[in-house]
Amino acid sequence: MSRLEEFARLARQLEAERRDAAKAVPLIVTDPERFLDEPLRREWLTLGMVEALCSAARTELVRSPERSLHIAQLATTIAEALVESYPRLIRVQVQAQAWKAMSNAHRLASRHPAALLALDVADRRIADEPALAHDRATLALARAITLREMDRTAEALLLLEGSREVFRNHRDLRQVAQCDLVIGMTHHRTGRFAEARQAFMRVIPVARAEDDLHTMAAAYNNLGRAAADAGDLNASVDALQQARSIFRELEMPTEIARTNWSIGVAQLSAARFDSAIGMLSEVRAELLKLGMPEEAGLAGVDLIEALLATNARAAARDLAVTIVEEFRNARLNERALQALSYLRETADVATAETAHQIGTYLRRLTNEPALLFVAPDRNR
Amino acid sequence: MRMAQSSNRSYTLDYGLMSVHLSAETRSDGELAATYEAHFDLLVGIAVSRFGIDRADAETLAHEVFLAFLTCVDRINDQRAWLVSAIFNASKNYVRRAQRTEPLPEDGRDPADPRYARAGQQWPDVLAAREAFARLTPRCQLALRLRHLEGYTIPEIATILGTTSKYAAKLVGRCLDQAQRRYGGGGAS
Repeated sequence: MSRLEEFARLARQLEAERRDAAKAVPLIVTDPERFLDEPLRREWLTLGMVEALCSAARTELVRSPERSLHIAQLATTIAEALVESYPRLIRVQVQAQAWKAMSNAHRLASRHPAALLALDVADRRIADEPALAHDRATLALARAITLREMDRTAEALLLLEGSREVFRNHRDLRQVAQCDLVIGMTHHRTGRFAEARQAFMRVIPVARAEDDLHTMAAAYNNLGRAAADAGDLNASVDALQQARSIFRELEMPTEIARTNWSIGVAQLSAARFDSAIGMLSEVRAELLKLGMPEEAGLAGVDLIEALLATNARAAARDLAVTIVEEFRNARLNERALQALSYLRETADVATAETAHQIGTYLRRLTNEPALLFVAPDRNR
Repeated sequence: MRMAQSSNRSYTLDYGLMSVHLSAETRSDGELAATYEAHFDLLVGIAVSRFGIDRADAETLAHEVFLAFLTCVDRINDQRAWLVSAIFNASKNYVRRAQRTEPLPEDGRDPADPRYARAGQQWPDVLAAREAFARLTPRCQLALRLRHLEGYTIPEIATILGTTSKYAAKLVGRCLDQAQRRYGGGGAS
């Protein structure tokens, strides 16, 4: 068989496998963990199935990282069991994709060491393949995102520059935009707001040209946050409103609530306390309605900060009492409960700065669940 | 200065990353074969003329670039640019690796790999072990792969599987038992 014939046969086979996988995957997604404990069905051992499961794992990421992890584990097992009639290069390519899907699920659940270990396996699979430079750049981007979340920003930036170059050479503008988005977020985390804003600005025209509304909204959202931190309230609210209108178009209520939250925080930063109180109250109610008690609690702490800044101590204390109850009922992190209880006990004397410090602690706790709570100095 | 990172740090980004796959449009195998035919010689030419790679190896590289292209074609906007860039990267990588390898002497002996000295006798065992492994559950295949093929420790396996070390150790032990039973001709668990 000539190479062209082999290629055409594979293309046909892949198309058929994708059609079959599209029928099988919805069943798996309903309860993926169950299928991890049943023998693998032979008809599932296809490349199309691995692709479809990786895609399903991506879709489930935001809804449920655990479900996404189980789907990715299934994809990985299938990818590793693919028969040798597939060319070796394609097998290792999809194996790397499946390990990356597993890494993503771990990262979304803030299990960063696990995410890096899974990426190590993915890297090993394709390290020796000259033709997979684009895939290696994709893995490097995933690693950079993980490292950024672990505050290993210098390593993240180095990887991002390398990946961006490979994507740029391939004229893969979407991935270039993703790199810029992460570069901006990395600069933002290190307090380099001007560089962050420049990176986010680079993303917007590309995402618009590609009609990629998700990335455009993400860029506006991050741009708004960076502008707020740079003290540029007008630019911040403009950008956040742009993000919000895109999220509305995409019908993403959680992102709309989060963007409103960012607007409320920007107003709080600019000492526009009345507007901040109105906005944050609405956001908190919306987050509770959406079944997100942890984020509603965090928004509540921002609201307490605004209330304390306007000396509305009774309202601040009442809210602290409510949040402690919500956290207790939702069985959220004990240390978070300890910090919130401290805020409740000290609401009569606490300053807005105290609430701010507790909010900062709670946000760090999301990434560092073992971080000890140390009561802020009340006299400061 | 207050940092305005109010919401969870990664969600917006992940929506962005996810969207890469949302607008895929499927190319027919006929179109793909036409793309192959239209660009194959160009890619081989680049590998030969720009990187001095011999024709046979250049053709293998170009073919591999097309195989890589096959699984991501729906996400590629500019196919020609993607293919040209891919062959440039592949050729650079190939040349770098070639510089690190040392050719065997022309008149030297080419001894057989000692691992295959008893290949004839080992094959039945290898095949039986593979078959036993293939009949395990996905969870067991993954656990045993991590332990015995990737060489991870129990705490590392626990990390990757998102569980405790105690459970991971128990899982590996149980899966090994299951595999041994099947290797010995046992039925389903």
